[in-house]
Amino acid sequence: MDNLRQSTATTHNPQPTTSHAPHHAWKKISKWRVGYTNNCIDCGLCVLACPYGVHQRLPGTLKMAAPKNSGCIGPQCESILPDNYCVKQCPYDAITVTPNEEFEALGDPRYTPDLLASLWHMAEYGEAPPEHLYERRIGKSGGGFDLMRFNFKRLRNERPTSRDLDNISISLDLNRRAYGSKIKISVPWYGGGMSYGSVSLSVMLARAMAAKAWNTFTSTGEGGYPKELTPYKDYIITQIATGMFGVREETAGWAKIIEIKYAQGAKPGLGGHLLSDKNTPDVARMREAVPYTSLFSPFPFHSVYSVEDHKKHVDWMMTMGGSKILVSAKVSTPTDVDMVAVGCYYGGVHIIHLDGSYGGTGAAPDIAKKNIAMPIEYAIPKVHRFLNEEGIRDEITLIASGGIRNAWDMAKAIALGADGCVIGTTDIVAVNCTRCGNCEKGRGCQHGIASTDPEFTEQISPEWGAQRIINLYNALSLDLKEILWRLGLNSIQELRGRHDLLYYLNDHQ
Amino acid sequence: MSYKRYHIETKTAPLENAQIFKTIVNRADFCINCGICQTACPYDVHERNPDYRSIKGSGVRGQGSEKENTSSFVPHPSPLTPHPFSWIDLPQMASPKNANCTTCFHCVNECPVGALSLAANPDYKTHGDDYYQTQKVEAILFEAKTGRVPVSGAGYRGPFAGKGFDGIWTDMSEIVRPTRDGIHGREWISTAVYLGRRPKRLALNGKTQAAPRCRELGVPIIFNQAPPPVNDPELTAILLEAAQAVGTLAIVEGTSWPAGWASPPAIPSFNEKTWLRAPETNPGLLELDFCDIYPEDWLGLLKEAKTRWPQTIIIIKVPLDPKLAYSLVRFAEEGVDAIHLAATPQGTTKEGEHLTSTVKTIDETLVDHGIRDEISIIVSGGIAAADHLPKLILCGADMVAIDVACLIALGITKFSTERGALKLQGPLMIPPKTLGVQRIKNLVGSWRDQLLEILGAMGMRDVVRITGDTGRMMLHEDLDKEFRALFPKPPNNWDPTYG
Ligand code: SF4
Ligand code: SF4
Ligand code: SF4
Ligand code: SF4
Repeated sequence: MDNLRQSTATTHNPQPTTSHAPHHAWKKISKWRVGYTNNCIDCGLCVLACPYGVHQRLPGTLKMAAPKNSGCIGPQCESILPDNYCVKQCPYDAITVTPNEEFEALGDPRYTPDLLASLWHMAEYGEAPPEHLYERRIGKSGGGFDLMRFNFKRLRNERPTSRDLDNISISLDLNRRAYGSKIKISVPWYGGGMSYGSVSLSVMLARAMAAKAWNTFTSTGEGGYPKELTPYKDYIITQIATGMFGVREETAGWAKIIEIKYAQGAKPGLGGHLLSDKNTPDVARMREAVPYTSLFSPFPFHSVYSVEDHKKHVDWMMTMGGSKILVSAKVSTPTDVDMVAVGCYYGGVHIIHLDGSYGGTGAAPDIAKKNIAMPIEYAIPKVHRFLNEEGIRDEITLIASGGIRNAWDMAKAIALGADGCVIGTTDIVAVNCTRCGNCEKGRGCQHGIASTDPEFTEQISPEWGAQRIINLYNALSLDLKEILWRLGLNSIQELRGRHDLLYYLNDHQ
Repeated sequence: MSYKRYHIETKTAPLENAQIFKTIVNRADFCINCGICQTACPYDVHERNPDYRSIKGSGVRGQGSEKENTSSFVPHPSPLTPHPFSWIDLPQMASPKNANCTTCFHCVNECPVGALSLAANPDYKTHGDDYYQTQKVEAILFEAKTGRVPVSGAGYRGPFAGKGFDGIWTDMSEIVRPTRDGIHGREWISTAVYLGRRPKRLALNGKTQAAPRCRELGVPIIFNQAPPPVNDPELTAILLEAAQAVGTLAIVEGTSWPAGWASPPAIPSFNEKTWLRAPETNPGLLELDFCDIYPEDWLGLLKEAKTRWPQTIIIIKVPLDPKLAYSLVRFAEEGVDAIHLAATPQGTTKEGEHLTSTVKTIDETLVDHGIRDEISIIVSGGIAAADHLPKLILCGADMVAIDVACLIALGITKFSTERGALKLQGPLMIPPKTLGVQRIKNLVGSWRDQLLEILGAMGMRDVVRITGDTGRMMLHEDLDKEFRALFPKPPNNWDPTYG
C-alpha cells in the first residue's frame, strides 16, 4: 500500500494488472452437482470426455476423485458438446448431474445466482467465466434490461482478437461544458456513493484504490471523508447530501468532482438512514453526530426549493471547490424527470446523474425500494430525448445508475442515451457480497462489507478488496469492448442513443 | 380546536409458530461435532444440546476437493478417517435454529468436514398462495409482530413489474415542493379520512347545512368481515377492540350485534333478508350488502333504512364491477353516503379485471357525474401489502377495508384464495385477545407509517389530497408502451440467447 500512497500523480498505469484473488474462506458454490453411483468402475472415460476438467483421478491412483463441480456446465452440455457429455459417455450410466440446491438458495430475480457467481469469478480471475457456465448477460426480473437484447452484427461463433479489442475506445469525458477542468476516465463508469458507516473503511479504501488503478472515480457517499482516503483524493468524488454529515469545506476543496445528492433512487424522496447499531463511535465522529443514535438525513435540501436555489447551491460548490471543480447532480426518477434534468442543467452542473429506483442501498424501507419513482431504463431515453430537443444534450454528461449490474446493462443504458454509468452493488459483489439483504440487521453485514463492526470488517483487507475490484473492472471492460466489437462499433461514444441496435422482447419470450 | 397528534401505539407482539424462513441449514450425519460452526455463526443458529451427550464415536471426515463445497458428495470410495477428537465427550450439536439464519454461509465455509449445506426451505412456499405470496405473508407477519416498517439492505430484489398493484410506481418530487419531511417528526402529515358525506363549507344563504353524516377516521383503513367460511366471534372481538384503539371501524355481521359495547366502533352489515332482523338501537352506521342478493327494490330498502335509523351513515356494498358505475351514481343521488366496492380475495372483478384499473374507472365515472365528492369509496378484497393502500387511494379510493391481511397478521398463513373463495388449511386458530389486538394495531401502525413514506416522498401533507390523483402515479403499461416504441421489432427467427 505504501507505494500506492506515495504516488498521487495523475499519470497512471493504463492497464492495471489483474491477479488471482481468491477469497480466503469462501468455498465456491457450484451450480451443478456431479455424482457417481455405485456402478462406477473407475474406468476414467469421463476424465477424457469432459473438456472442463470436472472428472479427475485421485493423484497417484486409479480411483476417481471428488468431481470438480464448479467447472460443470450442466445438462445443457448434452446439446452444446454432444460428443463430450459425460453422462452419455459413461458406459455404466454411473454419472449423475443434478442442480445444486445451495446454488439456488443464492441471489434473487435481479441478481440471479448465475450473475452473482459470474461476478465472483470475474473478481477472482480478472476475466469472464468460461462460456456456457453461467447466464451472465441478464437476470430474471422479467423486465427492463432483462428483456433487452443486442442485435449483433457479428456471428455468435466469431471471436475478437486482443488487437480487435485494444482498438476499441471506452474512455469517457466527464466535462462537456466550457468551464471546469477536462476530466477523462478510462472506463465509462465510476463508483457510486457508499458512505462510511454504510460500508466499512476497508471497502471504501478498496474501491478508491481500484478507482485509482483504473483512472476512474469512486464517491464518498454522505458519511464524510475519512482521512485514510486522502492518498486517492484525485479519484474521489465528494458527495454532499441533505444531512451534510461530515461535510467540510476543506474536503470539498480536495475533490475534482462534487456530487450533490438530491435524491437516491432506492429510496427516492426519503432521506438517508443509518440505523443506530451501525453508528459506531468512529462513524459518529466522522459525521459529527452522537454514537449509537439513528441518523436520518432529511429530504430534501431545506435550502433548495427551486431551480434558482439549486443554481445558488451549485455556485456555492464552485466557490468551495475552485474554478476547476466539476459538479454533478444526483437525482431520482419522478414523472417529470426530464424537467428535473433540464433544471439541473440550467443550474450549471456538468454531470446529471440519474439514479433509478432499483438501485442498491445500505438500508431502505422495502416500500420505497419497489414502489416510488420509475426504473432507470424508462428514465434514460426520456431525459436523453428531452435534452436533445432543448439543444443542450452535448453540453452535459448524462450518467445512469440504479440497477446496473454488468457490462451488458452498461451497454444497454448507453444505447438508451446515457454517456456512462455508475455502479455500486457490482463493486461490493466483487468483495463477496451475497446480496443477502442483511446489511442493516443487527451488527450489519457478516462479510464485513456493509458493516463497521471490527470483528466482521477484518475479513476484508483493502488490498485484497482492491485487487478483486481491479479484476472485476478488467473483466467488465473486456466484456464491454466485446459487445462494441460484436455491434461493429469502435468506441463507446458511438453507442450512445443507439436504441435501434436493441430488441425489446415480450415478457413471455 | 384542540389538537392531538394521532398516534398508534405499537409494541412487539411475537406469535409462536408464525415464523417463515427461506433457507434451512442441513447438517449431514458425518458431522464430527467439533463445534466450529457454533463459533462461526453470528446468529446462534448452531448450538449444542446439553441434554444430548452421547457422542458419535464413528465421526468421520467427509471427502472434498480443496476450496470446493462438495457437501452432498457421496464419497466413492469413501476413505473414512476417524476424527481425531472423537473421544471428547461434548454435547451433540442441536438441530440448527433455521429461523435465525441469514444465509451468510460462514458455517458452511468453515465446517472442516463439509457437513453443512444450505437449501431452500420446502415449507417456505406453503404459506399463502399465488396471490398472497410468501413474501407478502412474511412482510405482514413482520409488521404485525413489530409494528415497524420493513427495512432491508441491498436494493430491490424482486421482479421488474407485474399486474395490477405491481404495475404502479408512485411519484416523488425532487427539489421544488417545500411541503415535506413530516416523516421523522418535523412536520405533520395527516392520514385522517372521512367516511360518509364530507362536511361542507357554509351554504350560500349563510346557514350551515344539516349536520353532515360522516365519521372522521385516523387512518384510511377499516376492517372488513373475513370472507366466508371464517365467521368467528373471537376474531370479531379482536377487530373491534383494535378498531377502537386505532380510531377506525370494523364491519361486522349485523345480526351478531357486538354485546357489551355502548357504542361499538362497528359498522353492522345486513343484506335484504337479515335486515328484517335488525335491532331497534340505531348504531349510527349501516352497511347494506348487495353482493349476494341484489334487491329488486333497492330504493325501497334504502328508504326504509333511512326511516328506521334516521341520520345513519349508509354504506352500500356491491361487487367490484365497472358496469355498476351508473348504479353507484344513482345510489349517491338517493342519499347513500358511502360505497363499498368488494373485489375477490385476489383483488379482481369476477371477470378477472384488476382492482386498480376498475377503481379508477368507477372513480372517473363518479367524477364525471359531479357526485364523487359527495360520497366515500371503500375498497376491499386483495389488499395484501402496505403499498396497495396508497396505490388504491391514488386510483380513487378513500379508504380500504382489510380482511385476509388481518387473518395473516393473526398467524393464519396456510390458505388459498383461488376462484374467489377462501379455503383454510387446518382449523382456524385465533390467538389470545390481547396479543391479537396488539398485532392488528401493529399492522395498521406499520401500514400507516409506510403510507407516510409515500406521502412524504411526494411532498404531500394530507392523504385526502391524493385521492384519485392519478397524475401522481406511473403505470408500467404506459411507460412500457412508450419505451417499446423505441426499438425495432426482432425478426421471426431471432435467437434471444445471443445478444
Ligand atoms: S456434464 Fe459436461 S461439463 Fe459437466 S462434468 Fe459432464 S462433461 Fe463435464
Ligand atoms: S449484508 Fe448481505 S447484502 Fe448486505 S453487503 Fe453484506 S453480503 Fe451484501
Ligand atoms: S449461514 Fe451464517 S447465519 Fe446461517 S447458520 Fe451458517 S453461519 Fe449461521
Ligand atoms: S463445524 Fe461441521 S463438523 Fe463441526 S460441529 Fe459444525 S457441522 Fe459438525
